Amino acid sequence: MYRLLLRTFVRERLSFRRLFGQKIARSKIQSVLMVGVLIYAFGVTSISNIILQYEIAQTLEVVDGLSQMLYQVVGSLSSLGFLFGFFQAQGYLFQYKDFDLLGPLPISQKTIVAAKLSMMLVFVYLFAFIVALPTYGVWWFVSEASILQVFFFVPMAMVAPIPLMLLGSLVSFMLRKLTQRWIHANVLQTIFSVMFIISFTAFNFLSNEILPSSWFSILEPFDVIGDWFVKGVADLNIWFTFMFIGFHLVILFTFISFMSGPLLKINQQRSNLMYKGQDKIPIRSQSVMHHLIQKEWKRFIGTSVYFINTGFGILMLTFLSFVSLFIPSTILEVRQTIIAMGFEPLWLIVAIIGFALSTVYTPAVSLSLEGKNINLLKSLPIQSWTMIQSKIYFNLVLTLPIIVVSTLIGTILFQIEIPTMILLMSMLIMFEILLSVFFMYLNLWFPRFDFHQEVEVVKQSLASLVAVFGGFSFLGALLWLALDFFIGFDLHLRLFLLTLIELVVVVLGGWFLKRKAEAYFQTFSV
Amino acid sequence: MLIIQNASKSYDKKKKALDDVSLIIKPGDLFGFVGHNGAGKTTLLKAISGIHQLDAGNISFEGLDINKDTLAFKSKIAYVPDHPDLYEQLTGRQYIDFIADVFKVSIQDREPFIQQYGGSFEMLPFLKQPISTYSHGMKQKTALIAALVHRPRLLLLDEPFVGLDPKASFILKEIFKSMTQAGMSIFFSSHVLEVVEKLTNKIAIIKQGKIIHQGLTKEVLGNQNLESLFMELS
Repeated sequence: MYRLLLRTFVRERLSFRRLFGQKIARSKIQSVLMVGVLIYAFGVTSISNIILQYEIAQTLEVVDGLSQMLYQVVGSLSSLGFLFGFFQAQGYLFQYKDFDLLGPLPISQKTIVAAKLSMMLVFVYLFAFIVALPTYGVWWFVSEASILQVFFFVPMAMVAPIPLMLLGSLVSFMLRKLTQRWIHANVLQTIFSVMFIISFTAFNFLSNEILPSSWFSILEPFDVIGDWFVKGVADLNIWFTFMFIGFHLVILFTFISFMSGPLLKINQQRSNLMYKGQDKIPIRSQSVMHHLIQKEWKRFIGTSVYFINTGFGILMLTFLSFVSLFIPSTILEVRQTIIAMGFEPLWLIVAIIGFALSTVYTPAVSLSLEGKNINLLKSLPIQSWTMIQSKIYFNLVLTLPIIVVSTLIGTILFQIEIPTMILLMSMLIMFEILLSVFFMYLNLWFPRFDFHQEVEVVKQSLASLVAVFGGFSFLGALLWLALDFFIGFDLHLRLFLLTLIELVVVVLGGWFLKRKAEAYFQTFSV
Repeated sequence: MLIIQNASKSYDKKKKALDDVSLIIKPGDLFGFVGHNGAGKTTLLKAISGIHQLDAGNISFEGLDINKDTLAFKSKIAYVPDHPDLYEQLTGRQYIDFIADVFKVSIQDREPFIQQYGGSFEMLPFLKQPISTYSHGMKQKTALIAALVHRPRLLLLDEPFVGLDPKASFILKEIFKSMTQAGMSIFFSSHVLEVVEKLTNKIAIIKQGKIIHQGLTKEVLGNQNLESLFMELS
C-alpha cells in the first residue's frame, strides 16, 4: 500500500503537466525548450557550485581538511530537509488537502504519513543535486575515493535530511497552532516564519567568533552524528554507517509511530477553528484598481512562502540600508577600495539594489496564485489589462519606496553628488518597471493555476525559476552596457542612456502587453 | 446495517453541527437525507466516512466500529463528496486504478466493471486524459466509477446529482436501484426533493444538527409531497 500511495503521489506532484502547466505540456516544442532551459539553469548552478567547491577543496587539501567538505554535505542536506519540512508540511502533512479523498479509504494513517514524508524527501533529493551533490562529487574526485564509497554515501545521504525535516514540519505546525485562532492568522504566521527563517539562517552562517560559544555547545552532541557520516563515507566504516542510518531511521519510525494518531486527529479537526479578535467589517466603496492591489497585498502578507521568497530582496535592502547607517566609516573604506580598483562606486549600489530587485518577482507568480479564482476574475467586467496593471503596480508599490530610500542612503554614504543621485534613482526605478513588465510576461507565458500548495507556484514553477535567472541576466546586461559598451561616455550621459534604453523597452513591452492581454487571458482556464 | 447512535459534533464548541443524531440504515435501504444548507448533512456523511471525528456517539457498520475497526469499516464503504477533489494530474483511468488497488480489486474484476460503468457514463474516451482537463460533471462521474469499483456494502454520497447531465442522473438512479436490490445500502444527501421523494424508501430531515423527521418515505410523507413537508417543518 505504501508503494501504491507513493507512486500515486509522485505521479500527482511530479508530472510534467503539473511542473510546467497544461499549456506547455500540450506542445512538444515548448516542452523540449523548457526542459532545455531547466537543464541549462540547473547545469549553470551546479557547475558554478562545483567550481567554487573545487577551489575550496584545493585549499582544504593543503591543510589536510578535506573531510570538512563531508561535514558541509551532511549540513546542507539537513538544512534542505529543514526548509522543505518547514514550507511543505502545512497543507501536505498537517491538514493536508487530499484528506477528503484519502480519509474514507482503508489505508492506515501510518502508511499515509510514511508515503507523505517520503514524497517530501523526494523534493529534498531533487534540490540536493544542486546544493549537496556537487560538494560530495568534488570531495570524491579530489580525495580520489573509490566507487565503493559512493555505495556507502548514497544511503547515508538519503536518510540525512530526515531529522531536521521532521523538526521543520513540527515548527511549521506549532507556528500554525499558535496563530490559527486569530483573525489575522496568516499575517502572524508570515511574520513568525520570517523571524524563524532569518534566525535559522543567521545561526547557520554566524561563526563562533560572533556568537558566544555557549550557544553552539548545545549542538555538540550533533557533531557526533556528523562524525559518523564522515567516518562512514571517508573510511568505509560499516559500524558508523549502520549507526548513522539506524539513528535516522529510528527517528523516522518513531515519528511515524507516535505522530500518526495525533496527525489523524489534527486532520479530522481541521475545521474546528474559532477566530479571536473578530473585527467589524468596514463598508466602503473604492476603485477596482484599489481593490485589486489590496487583494494582492493581502495575499502577499498572508502567504508565508510567497512573502519570504519574493519579499527577500526588500527585506535585504531594508536591512542593508539600516545597518549601513551605523557603519559610515566602513562604507567609506569600501568606496576607496572601489575607486582604487578603477571603478565608480555607484555601480556597487546598482549591483546590490539590482540584485535585490531581481528577487522581488511577484508579477511572475501572482497571476498563477489566483488559482481557480482566475475563472471568477475572468467572469467579472474587468479588463484583462487592468488586472495585469494591478499586478505590475503592486510590485512597484512594494519596491519603489525601498529603491528611493536605499539609493538615498547609498549615495549619501558614498558621497555621490545630487544630480548623479537623481539620475541613478531614475535609472533604478526604470529598471524595476522593466523587471515588473518582464516578470508579468513570464506569468502570462507560463501560468500554473492547478496547484495544491502555494510553494509549487512560488518556488517550483517555471515562471519563478526563469524570473530569478532572467532578472540577474537583465542586471548583467545593464552593468555590461554601463561598464563596457558605454565606457567612454560621461557618467551622467551613461546613466541617462541606460534610463532611456530601459524606457524604450518598457514602452514597447507595455504596449505589446496591453495589445495581447485579452488574448492571453482567453487561453486561461482551470 | 449502519447504526448511528447519539452522534454529536461541534466545530466551535458552541453551536452543534450534529446534535444527538441516531439513525439506522438497513441492507437494501436507499436512504435520502435532506436539510437546509449548514444543517449538518455533510458533517454526518463525513463522520460516517471517517473524515470527521465525532465529539460523542458511535457509528458502526455490520458490527464494525468506526473507531475500533477503522480499516475494516472503511473497506466496506465508499464516499463521494459533493465536489470531488481528485488527484488532478492523474488520468481518470489512473485514478480509478489507484482506488481499485487500495481496495485490492483484481485486474480481472475491475476491467469489465470499468468498461460497463465507464460506458454507461460515456466516460471511456476521456479516461486517458488527465483529470485536470475534466468538467465538474466528468469529475463527478469518475469519482462515482471509482467509488463503485470495489462494490461497497454502503455507498455514501453528498449531493450526487449536482453537475450530472440528465442521462448520467438517470443511469445513477438505475445503479442505485440495482445496488439496493442486491442488498447494498445507499445513504445520500440531496436538495432535489423530487428525486429523494421518488427514489428513496427511507428519508431523514435534519435541521440545525437534529433529526426532526425520519422513517419510511411513504409514512413520513403521508398525503403530502416532500417539498411541502420540508417547507412546513423548516
